[in-house]
Amino acid sequence: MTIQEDMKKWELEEPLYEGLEKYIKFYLKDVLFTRGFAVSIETRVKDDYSLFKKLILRRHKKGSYSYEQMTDKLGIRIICRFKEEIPYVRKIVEEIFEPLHAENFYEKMEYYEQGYKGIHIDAKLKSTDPHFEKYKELIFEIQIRTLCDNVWAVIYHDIGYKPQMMASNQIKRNLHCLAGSLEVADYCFSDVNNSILQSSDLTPDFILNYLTRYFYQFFRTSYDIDYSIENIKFLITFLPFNSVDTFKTEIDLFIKEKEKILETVSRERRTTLSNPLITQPEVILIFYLINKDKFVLLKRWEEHFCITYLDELSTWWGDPIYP
Amino acid sequence: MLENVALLNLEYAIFHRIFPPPSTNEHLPPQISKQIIKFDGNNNKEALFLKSEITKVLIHEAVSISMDEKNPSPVPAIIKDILFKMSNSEIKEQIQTEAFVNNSISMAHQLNLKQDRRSTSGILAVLYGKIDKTKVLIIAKLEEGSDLQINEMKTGDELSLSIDIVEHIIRLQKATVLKVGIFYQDPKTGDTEPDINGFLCDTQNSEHKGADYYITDFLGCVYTNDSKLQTESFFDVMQVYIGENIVSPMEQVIAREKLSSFLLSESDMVVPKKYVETFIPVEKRKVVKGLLLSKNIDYNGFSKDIDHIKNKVEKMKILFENGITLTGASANFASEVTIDNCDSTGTTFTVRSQIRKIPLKVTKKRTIKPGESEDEDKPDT
Repeated sequence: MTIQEDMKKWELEEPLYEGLEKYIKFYLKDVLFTRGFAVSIETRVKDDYSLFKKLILRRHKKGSYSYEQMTDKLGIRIICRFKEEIPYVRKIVEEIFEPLHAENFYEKMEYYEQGYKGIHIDAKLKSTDPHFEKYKELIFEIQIRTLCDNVWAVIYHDIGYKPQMMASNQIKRNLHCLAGSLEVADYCFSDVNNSILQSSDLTPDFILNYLTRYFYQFFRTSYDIDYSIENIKFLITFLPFNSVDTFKTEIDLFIKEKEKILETVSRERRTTLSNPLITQPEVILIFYLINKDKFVLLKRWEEHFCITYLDELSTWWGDPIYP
Repeated sequence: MLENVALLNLEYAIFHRIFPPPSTNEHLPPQISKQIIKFDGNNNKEALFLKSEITKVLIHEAVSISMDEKNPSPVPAIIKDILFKMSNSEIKEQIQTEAFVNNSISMAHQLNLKQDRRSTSGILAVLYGKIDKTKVLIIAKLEEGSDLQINEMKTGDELSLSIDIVEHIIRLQKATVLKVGIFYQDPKTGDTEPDINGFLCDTQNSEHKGADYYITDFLGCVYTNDSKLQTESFFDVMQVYIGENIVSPMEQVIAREKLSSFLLSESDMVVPKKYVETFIPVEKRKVVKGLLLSKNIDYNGFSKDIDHIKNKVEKMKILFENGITLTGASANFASEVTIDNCDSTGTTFTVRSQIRKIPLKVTKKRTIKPGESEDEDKPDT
């Protein structure tokens, strides 16, 4: 097909890709958050000129390149916080979509090499989605990488600072060191995260980290970290746990027993603007305390919080503090 | 059930305005709405507000109530009808909603009729929903206030009432929910006609128990710990247990007699625990205790009142397949009647007693026709 014919086809298909973009962004975020992964998701449908240029340049370079071969007309980027999340996120993506082709750039590099890092997956919607019949033949590209990988990708790909293209050896070396630093930073972030989670002290950081994955599972929204730390520092003064293990056991059991109530409360109330605590991870701790020892909570609450917040949270939980 | 009120999902509502009677013999008709409100994403705010208000009232202060089958109020039957029809996949949605509207109107009229001059005006809210998968019907009397307002809309002759929640105001101390009763089918009763359990709270009453007219004349209920109801429930549970667990007819008669003696004793209390420990074999006690508790019977004792079951307790009746009926006082049935030859050919009952009387006179009253004398009906003696 000629470029003009391809562009005409694109004119017809572009609205479909835009519809698919909206659906995938919402669906992917929902699934990943429910499984406890607080990722960032960026999406884009290719601009007309970008598509046009890619068709021309690829045909010029390779001799032939068809409209169908371009699998990133719709691009989705999943940015994970930590390296260890990548294989799990990949598994979920390959579970909920139909993967057609995958490329793992992490595995392509030798130990002395630096370069673009990430996992690219070309995929389609699964054929079991009857509501999305019109999208079933559309192929999209999903990229999975970490925050640090993303910084490097922007430098490398978007800004265009590719070492092999630099004339000066010094600049090349600097760019290699930068890539290496970002990779080391990635490992450091993971180390810090694991150290907090493996802590033997019941600190506010540990509690926040532990609650966060459950928070994302039920509430699927971002939160204010500073506010959380401040609140947990207060709540920790009367928590009924004497060790990290007791805390973990109690919270895990509480979540298991009250999963339905947590899902209901989060679904019904998370968009409520009257109570800032409903979209903070420490709300799980507060619900735990309402369930287990509401009187201690009531006695101390006003030292730090407005009483109407507790009135609301306890009512939504189904155990009001006031008759 | 009430511990899962957080899972309450309201699906439908209808509101009617009720007025207190201006004088003893007068009743102002209720303002009836024919508009059922279906809660969906567009009016979630109202559903969640009602859920919060109902939760606050019900959780701490509600008392258990049961339907009184002998009460003439139509509301128990209405409640059963709504719970049966709503969400029943075998009934068309239009019929479900019509039944919901019409039944709620009947309730409004019943409440209106039974109120007295001490009653306040308010909104009767009939709400249907589910707690998890259990169907639930909530009958609440609401007070209009600064944060709960009623919108009226008229289409021709038809009035519809809906609620509006006013946000961002300082909530006043007065209650929005004046009275609330929640009814649900006991999920344990399976395929048999399900029991309906209920809870009631009246915020206008200092003890939070429903005003008499509300619980008795309107809802047609009694407090579950009502002595008549408790005594009757205890007797019924034990009757069923005897019938299902004792095979020998003679032993059934003895067990039945002991039950009656227990209830006819001079004590003004019934202590099920004492009965179980005295008359039930050790290996069966846990099961019987479970049966009694499942019917909300106070295992440690309650005031006795055999009013509802007087005849059944005082008399024993045995029906034979050949049409003969043997009736006697329960208290000494086993000692005066022996049972033999309990096999496939039949059972022999021997009654040891002098015949006191064989009533032969048939006293059948009928209208005396002109020309007839009253003596014509007298049989030969």
